[in-house]
Order: sequence, then C-alpha cells, then structure tokens
Amino acid sequence: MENEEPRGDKDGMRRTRTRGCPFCANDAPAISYKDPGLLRYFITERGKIVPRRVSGICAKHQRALTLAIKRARVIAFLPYTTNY
Amino acid sequence: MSSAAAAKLPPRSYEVIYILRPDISKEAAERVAQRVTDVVSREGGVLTLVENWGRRPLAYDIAHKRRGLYVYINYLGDGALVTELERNFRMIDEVIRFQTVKLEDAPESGEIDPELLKFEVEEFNPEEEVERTLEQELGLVNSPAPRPSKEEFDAETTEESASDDVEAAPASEEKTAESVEETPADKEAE
Repeated sequence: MENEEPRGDKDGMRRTRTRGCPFCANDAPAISYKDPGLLRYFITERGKIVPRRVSGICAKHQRALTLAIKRARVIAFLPYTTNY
Repeated sequence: MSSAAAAKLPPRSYEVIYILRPDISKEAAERVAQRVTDVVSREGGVLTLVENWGRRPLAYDIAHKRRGLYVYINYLGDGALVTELERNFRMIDEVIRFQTVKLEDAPESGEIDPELLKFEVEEFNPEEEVERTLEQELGLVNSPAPRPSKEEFDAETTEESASDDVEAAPASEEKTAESVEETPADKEAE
C-alpha cells in the first residue's frame, strides 16, 4: 500500500490515481449487450450501473456501456434489481 | 412518402434475441422458428443467421419461469418487417420476451451458408425444471431446487473441461487419460 500511489497533502487531501479508461486500451474488449460476464463488472451488487467517477471509464464508453447494460436487462442477462 | 421511394432504400441488418418458455417441446420450438422464417421471407427480408443458445437461467423471472430457451437470429430487411415480426412475436404465446437491435455494420451482400439457418433444439427434460411450491418458496420446507445463483449463471457460459478434471481426479488412471484427451478437443470446439 505504501508505494502504490503518491499521497496527497498532509491536510487530508484525497488520494488520486490516474488510470485510463479500460475500453480505450488497444486490446480492449468490445462492449456488447450479449456479454453479461463483462457487463457484470460495471454494475453494483444491487444491479445499478456504476458511475463513471468510480469506474474511470471515459464518457464515450460509458454511454455505450449504459446502453449495453439496459439492453442486457431487457433480455434477462442482467437483473434490473436484486430486491424482489 | 411513396412506397416506391421506400423500396429503393438498401436493406438494413437487424439482430433479434427471443426467449421461449423453457418447457416448450421440440416441435413447438421448431414451429416458432418456421414461423419466423416465413414472416421474414414473406416481407421480402433475408434471414442470415439462426442460433440456438439453449436453456439459460434468467436474471429475473419472466412469466413465472426461471429459465428460458434463447434463440438468436440475424436478418436483412426494412422497418415494416421489424414491425411485422414483432407483431408476430407478441401473438406467439411461447415467446416470453424478444428484443430487436439494429446493427451498425453495413449488410453483407455475400452468399448465405444454409448451415447457419439450421435450427436444432434438444428435447425438454422435465427433471431439470423442478418448479418450487409455495411452501418451499417461503422457506417452510427444504427446497430441492434452489434458485440458480450468480455463480451458476457464470459457470454455464464457461468451459465444461474444468468440471471434467474435478471428476477425473479421484477416478482410475484410465479415466484420467481419457479426460486429458478430451480437454484439448473441448477447447478447440469452443
């Protein structure tokens, strides 16, 4: 943990970590609603879509991912909610 | 807009996933597939791909079913065909869910392999589909058929060779040798 990333100032600044969008990488997998195994990484335990500020995905790919997750829900690859 | 103007538009490529009831018979599933084929050809479309994805667990109940028989098709056609096909899906009771998606890719003009249009369904095995009674649902009785968990859902999509290895481990040497032979073949098949 110590040498993982630079710490902020002593007065409690948040740790920052620069990390690229995983879907912008050259060997990135294609975002498809037919791949629930991949989409599962980007939903919470309750089935909500993980926000961009948490997952670090760029805006373009977050839009594609959101569409894919919503399509996957329609054909019951992913749950709308786990609370039923 | 006249119909002549609409006819000049190049056909678009669509993909559809429809889900059939899990307890559907082989004949009924083939009847649905035949009806889809008829509708597409009647409306001037071209069916380019038919895939049976088998009985998979649903992420949530649809029509009180926990599993569904997934069928994936691709076709070329226009908007009128999409409307007509979806109207037909609504009328077929065996279809519990469907979704049409327009593909971005330009339609290919190449020849279609008729092998891709074959539709095969395995016979329904009622032992797989043990519906739970109300008492079991409420946890009053020990349940013989627990709801498929997330792990099972994922496991269905992964290779079967992993489970082969587990079974082969305590078995005799002959069986172990067999499973070693089978494992690369399984991977090639995928």
